[in-house]
Amino acid sequence: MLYDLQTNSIVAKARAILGRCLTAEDYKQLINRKSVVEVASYLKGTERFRKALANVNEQSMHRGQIENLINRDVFENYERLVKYEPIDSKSFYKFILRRQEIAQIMNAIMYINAGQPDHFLASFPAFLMQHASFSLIELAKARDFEQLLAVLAGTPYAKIIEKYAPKQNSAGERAKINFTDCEVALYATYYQSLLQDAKDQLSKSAAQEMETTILRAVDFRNLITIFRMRVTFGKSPELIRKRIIPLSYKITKSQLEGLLKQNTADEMTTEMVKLAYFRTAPKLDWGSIERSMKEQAHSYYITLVRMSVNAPVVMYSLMQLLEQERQNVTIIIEGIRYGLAPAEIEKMLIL
Amino acid sequence: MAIEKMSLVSVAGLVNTLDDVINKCCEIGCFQVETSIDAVQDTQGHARVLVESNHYSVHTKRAYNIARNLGVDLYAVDYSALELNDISEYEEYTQKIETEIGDLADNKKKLSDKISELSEIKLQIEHLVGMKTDFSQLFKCETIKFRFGRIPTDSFPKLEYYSDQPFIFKAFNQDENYVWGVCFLPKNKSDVIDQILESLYFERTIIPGYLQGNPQEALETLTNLIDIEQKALDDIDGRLEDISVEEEQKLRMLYSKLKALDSSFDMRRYASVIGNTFYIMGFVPKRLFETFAKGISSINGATAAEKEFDEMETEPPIKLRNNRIFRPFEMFVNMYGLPKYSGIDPTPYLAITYILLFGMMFGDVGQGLLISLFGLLLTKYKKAALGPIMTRIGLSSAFFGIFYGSVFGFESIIKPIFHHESVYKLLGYSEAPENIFQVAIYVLLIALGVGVALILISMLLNIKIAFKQKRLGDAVLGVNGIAGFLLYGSVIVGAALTMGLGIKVFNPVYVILLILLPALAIFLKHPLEAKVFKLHHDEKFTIGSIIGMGFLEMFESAISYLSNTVSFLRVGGFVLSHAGMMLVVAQLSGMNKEGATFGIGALFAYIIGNAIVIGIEGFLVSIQGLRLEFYEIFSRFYDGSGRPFEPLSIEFN
Repeated sequence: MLYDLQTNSIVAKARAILGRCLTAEDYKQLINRKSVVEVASYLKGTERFRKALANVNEQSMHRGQIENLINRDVFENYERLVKYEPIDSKSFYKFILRRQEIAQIMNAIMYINAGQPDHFLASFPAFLMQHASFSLIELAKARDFEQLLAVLAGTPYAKIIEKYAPKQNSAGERAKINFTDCEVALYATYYQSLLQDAKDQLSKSAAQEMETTILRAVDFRNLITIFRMRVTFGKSPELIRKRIIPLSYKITKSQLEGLLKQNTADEMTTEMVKLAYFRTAPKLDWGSIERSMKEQAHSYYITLVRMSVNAPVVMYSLMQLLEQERQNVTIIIEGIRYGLAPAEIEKMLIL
Repeated sequence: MAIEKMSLVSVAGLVNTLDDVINKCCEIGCFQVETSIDAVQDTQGHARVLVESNHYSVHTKRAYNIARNLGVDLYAVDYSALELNDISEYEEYTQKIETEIGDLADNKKKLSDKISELSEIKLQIEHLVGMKTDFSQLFKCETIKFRFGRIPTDSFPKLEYYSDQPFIFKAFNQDENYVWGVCFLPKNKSDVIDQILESLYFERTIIPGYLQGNPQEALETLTNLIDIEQKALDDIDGRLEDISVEEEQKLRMLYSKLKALDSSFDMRRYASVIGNTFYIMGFVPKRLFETFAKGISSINGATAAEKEFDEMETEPPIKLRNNRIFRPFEMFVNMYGLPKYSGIDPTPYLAITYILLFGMMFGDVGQGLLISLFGLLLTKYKKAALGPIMTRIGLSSAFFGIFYGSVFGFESIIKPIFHHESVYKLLGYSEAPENIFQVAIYVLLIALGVGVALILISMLLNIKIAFKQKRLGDAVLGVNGIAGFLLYGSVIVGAALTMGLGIKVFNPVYVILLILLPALAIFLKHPLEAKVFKLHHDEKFTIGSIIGMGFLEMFESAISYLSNTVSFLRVGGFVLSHAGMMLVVAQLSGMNKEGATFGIGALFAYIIGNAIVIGIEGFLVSIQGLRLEFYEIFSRFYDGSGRPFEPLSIEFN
């Protein structure tokens, strides 16, 4: 009974949050703003971000601040939902925290590789400091892979990436950290542990639905990786195999191999249309495949939030949608800063 | 109680009297210009339209701006006493006032800006009151600089990262989004540290040099400065107020006059001009034509003459005309859409059925009279459009309350109708039913009966309208035509007689003549219309299309008959729900117990309970009633595609 009440509370609250999300009309208004200040001002007037931006002066606001506040709002929504579940007993519910931690580790690696480790400090969301399993301030001080590993010592992340330590060349100089290897390894473990946690900690129907949801996301992620690496960068099938997450839902091994053999965009498109995900999709072209996948995932999450009766699935899907909303707002802000036409910005949004 | 009959009127006169004619039209208020009709169609295209620059617009806007700056509330007034008569005099007057208030307005803006600036600084300093040091002492430091301001809460913990840098951030105050404080930094490192602060989105507050003492004292200084500026601002406001009092009446008259001239000048575009004569076509309610024509002919050389027109080709605008009882319900008809000119005004029908349905669903003498009283008060003091409707439906509620024997939920004051021996014996009970729930089945059947009657009446109205509009196919073969009426009526009557009274009427003749034949007529409506009434000339009928269309038509009509009829069960449902809610009130008050006395607690429970029931159920029932009107009744005969009658008038908004 109590479980049901908790579940109902999460589902009802999640649907209420979804109802407040930015609408197509909001996005239309936002892409037609002329400056970041106008974007902030508009967001402040929406039901969705009224509270998050209530006390800030949008006139003096920097884009990084807006992004941080929206990021914080996503996390606060998660915290509001998760308080109905005994999170300590179910590590599954820490999925968003784990994903945020991985994102920050990857950010830190990116800045170290770029020779600008100081820039990481401004980029990470401070609200994460009190939740993360390692010190973000210390992570910001890391200047190389050893220091990074030292900061992550004692966390599962250190074990995952320690084998990717950059090697020294003959002159004794260290190569850059292999960003992609670390990213694939971290996210592969993330998805695998998420599936395991769902299986161990959730009800049978919730675990099954969660598995489908996670594996669909992995399928799309892998397809995007294959598409980009094979067609855009012309990488070899051997290398691509190492860069995809070793999980799948609707993509068989032979289909995967079939995709890896394709060389051109047209060939890849023809092969992808044979996949279950695109059989009913309108005509695909070179530019629309990635977008089509993201839109499919987006509408799938919306359906889950609206229809699923499993609170963990609803919560997980909502967090994906809020994350997409955050990305959309970031795209709009960047687009306006770089003077893109509204139509160009609109093409990049996933609604 | 109908749609106003309209006359198509041609107004003609000399061009130099055009403004006067237009003003007269606005004054009489019953002339709607018809731009779609060529006023001079017989003149072989020699007519021209007046295209002129409206020189009144500028002056109207200037008068408006003056009034706004002086805070004068503008509305239409009689301007006959205004002593300004032409453009040059308007110009002279507005120029004089503009000069007089221009300097004051400039100073007012400067003072307002200054107050805003000081208030902003004050807001920042308020967050620094934790600091006890004198600002002037800080400004004297030679090797250390200070940065007052705020840093986002998100950035504040990140300052730890720069613990090796030679600066200190002292926080004084914090809210959800910002931490206010002061940063101490060495002068020779200020560039680097300013960059660090900027990267953490630190927002600096510039402390004006005239601020002395610690933040608390600085706040007092700022408060005094704001007070001084505010006083100066108040003085200006006082002077503006004096001018406003002195000029407001004249300004209102000037604005009213200019607005009238401005609007009527704009209306000159409606006129077609040939030589020195203008023509304007429009509609006037027939019963007001004489008055209108007389008013127009009072202007030198101007005339108004009635023209013939084809109602089907030239759809005149709609003006509803109902008696005082039904008039408030025109609001609902307007909400749905006005009738066509060749249709009928559904207001009386809507008013009667809405009053009836509301009363049935919300029958209570006390609550009904209360709603009625509330409606009267709303009408008198708020001029609310819903007020008169509430008055009427409240009385209906009270009327039905007598039958239900309910007065504020008390069922012992008036004897319910089902407690009368003749009634309960007729219903088959040997003794009086204890409450309405025991006769629930009869309540629901009566509700269904009312629904069936309303649907049949709506079909009759549709038949009448269709014949009037010469839509013979719809009138005879339509789902809501004669065929539909026979089909629906005979099925319902047959079922009622068979199941209710045991009279078996579904014999072959009844079924073939009254059910199958009308059903076949509906099924074959389109080809029959083409054959018999010579409609759908362009449509090619095949066996497949006839069966397809016929099947869809039949399926849709069967669903609509069923759903529309069943929908009326809600009327009975609300009767029972009202009784149920009042039972809850009685239980909460303890008055349903044997020998209970009516004390303060019970009185309190009854007052709150009645208020909730009136608020929630009254609201629901009024919406459900409207829903029944719009969906179940209007959908059978009414399309609401008429256009409203909008006579020429001067808009003052």
